[in-house]
Amino acid sequence: MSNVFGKLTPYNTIIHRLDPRLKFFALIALMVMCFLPYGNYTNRFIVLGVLALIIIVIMAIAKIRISSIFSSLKSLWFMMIFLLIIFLFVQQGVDTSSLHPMIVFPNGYTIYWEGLFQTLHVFLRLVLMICLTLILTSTTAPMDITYALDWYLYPLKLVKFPTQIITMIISLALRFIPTLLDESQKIMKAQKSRGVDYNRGFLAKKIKSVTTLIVPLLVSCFSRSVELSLAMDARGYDPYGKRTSYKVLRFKLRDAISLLIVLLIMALFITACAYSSFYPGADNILNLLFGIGAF
Amino acid sequence: MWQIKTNHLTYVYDKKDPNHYDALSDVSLEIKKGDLVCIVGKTGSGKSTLVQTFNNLISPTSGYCQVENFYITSDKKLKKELLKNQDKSVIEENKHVARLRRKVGLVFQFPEYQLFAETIIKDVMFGPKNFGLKEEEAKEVAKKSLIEVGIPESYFEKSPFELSGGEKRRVAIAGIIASDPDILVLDEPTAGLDPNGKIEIMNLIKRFHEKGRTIIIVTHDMNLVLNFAKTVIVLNDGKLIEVTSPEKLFQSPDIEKYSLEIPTLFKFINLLKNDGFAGNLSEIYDFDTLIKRIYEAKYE
Repeated sequence: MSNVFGKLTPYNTIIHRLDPRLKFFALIALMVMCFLPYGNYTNRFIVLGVLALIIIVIMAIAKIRISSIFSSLKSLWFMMIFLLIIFLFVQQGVDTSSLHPMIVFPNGYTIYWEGLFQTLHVFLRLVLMICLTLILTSTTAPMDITYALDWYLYPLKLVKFPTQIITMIISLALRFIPTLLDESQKIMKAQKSRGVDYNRGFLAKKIKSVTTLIVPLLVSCFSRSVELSLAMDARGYDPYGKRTSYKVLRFKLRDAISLLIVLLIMALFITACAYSSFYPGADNILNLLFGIGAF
Repeated sequence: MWQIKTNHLTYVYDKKDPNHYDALSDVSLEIKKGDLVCIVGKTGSGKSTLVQTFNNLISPTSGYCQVENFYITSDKKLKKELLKNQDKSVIEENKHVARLRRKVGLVFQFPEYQLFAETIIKDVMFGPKNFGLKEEEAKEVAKKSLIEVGIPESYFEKSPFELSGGEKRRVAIAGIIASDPDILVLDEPTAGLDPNGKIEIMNLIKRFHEKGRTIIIVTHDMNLVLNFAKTVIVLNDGKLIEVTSPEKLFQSPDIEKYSLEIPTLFKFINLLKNDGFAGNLSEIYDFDTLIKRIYEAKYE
């Protein structure tokens, strides 16, 4: 199976060795950076382009193949087309005096460049989020992600919130992602040998084909979850019991340096955001740096 | 005359991934039409991977598999080469994978987990309908197949999830034989069944074989191999070790080398030999003959 979410790549790069708490923080921080308001489209695309560059560098260090992103994007094409249609036509309702016309139909109906840019913007943000998640799951063992989550949820323990149950649920969910993927592959193969073609046909046929996958997968999931809970009971699992950890996380020098780099990147993006917010009249970052005009 | 042929077939899982491994390497074999073949080997030897190439669920990384006139390979150049001097009908046939999948019915391990329809009859009709049969025709063949596997008519409108494990498996097998395949491939058909369930399934397979169909069974059960197989294919670490008869295989000293279990009959014969049994213990391939020989040695 190709490199998909939940599957750790067997390398020992510096990204793999970083503290999972730091990687989790970096993931959330960079995702937030994707969603900050950066003003006009030129600014937005420059900022997201810089973020994409940073992500590509991290992926190269972590030895994650860029092609693995494409397999994750397969299901997004439909959404992209849907968004494109919505954004191209919904723009008509807003004040169009500040928009840039792309196509003007003889009846006066106009399609604006902004609709296309809006679609690209949403798509780019989604792609970057997928890449960030891919980096975390490809370089961090599921149990390490759970340890990190448990650490972040620690303050909730002070108000008697059962964080250990939440982390157990998350760790089990993460643990079963590869198993369910394997299971779905097996079911798909079995249904293919009964003549199902998951790749061809119209939407109705595709939806019907997916039923042949979903129903057996759900049956298998429920049966597995019952067996798992029984096995946990049999081994004396107490959800409210005090738990210790086999692995104790230690924050090392490389983690501190990496944290600094993440903070620096955050500062850079927040500055870009502040620039566009405080100087809404200013054209764009390119204008600021090189005196190039805005779109 | 062969019906399935593999030529230097190699299959690598996750080829571009650092975790890649060769599930099959350089496997060349032939399976005769109407044969009952068992594929044996320890876990991870490539048995399931090999049978999945037979109906193009996976395509060989290199080399090819040929099922009658259908060529299966991921190497486009090789496929073009193989189809170069072929008839138009053969070239046309090679464009339709569905036809191959109808010809080669593949029953996966624990097929009961692939049931999905709301009624048993609808689940069995699913395959034939996909292969182009009309609703009424599909219903007819589905009924016939269900009766053939021993599911009573009163069950047809029940949910498949209400059935016992053995019944579910028989329904799943009915779902494949309803498409009337020429070749029936079964991946560990008796795994997880009680002794009676195993006998029922094997008798069902035997009946299908008696109709002239080619049967290929992937199994770890050596008693099943001894009792049912005509030909045995032994795989080890993705390599073809030998294509032989069950009688020859179980008398071979190499059997334990490939982590294959010795059938109960041969274990018993070995115990008798080690115990200094004086009678004739050669060429015994079933318990009836063994009992007869013991009786002869004691009373005649």
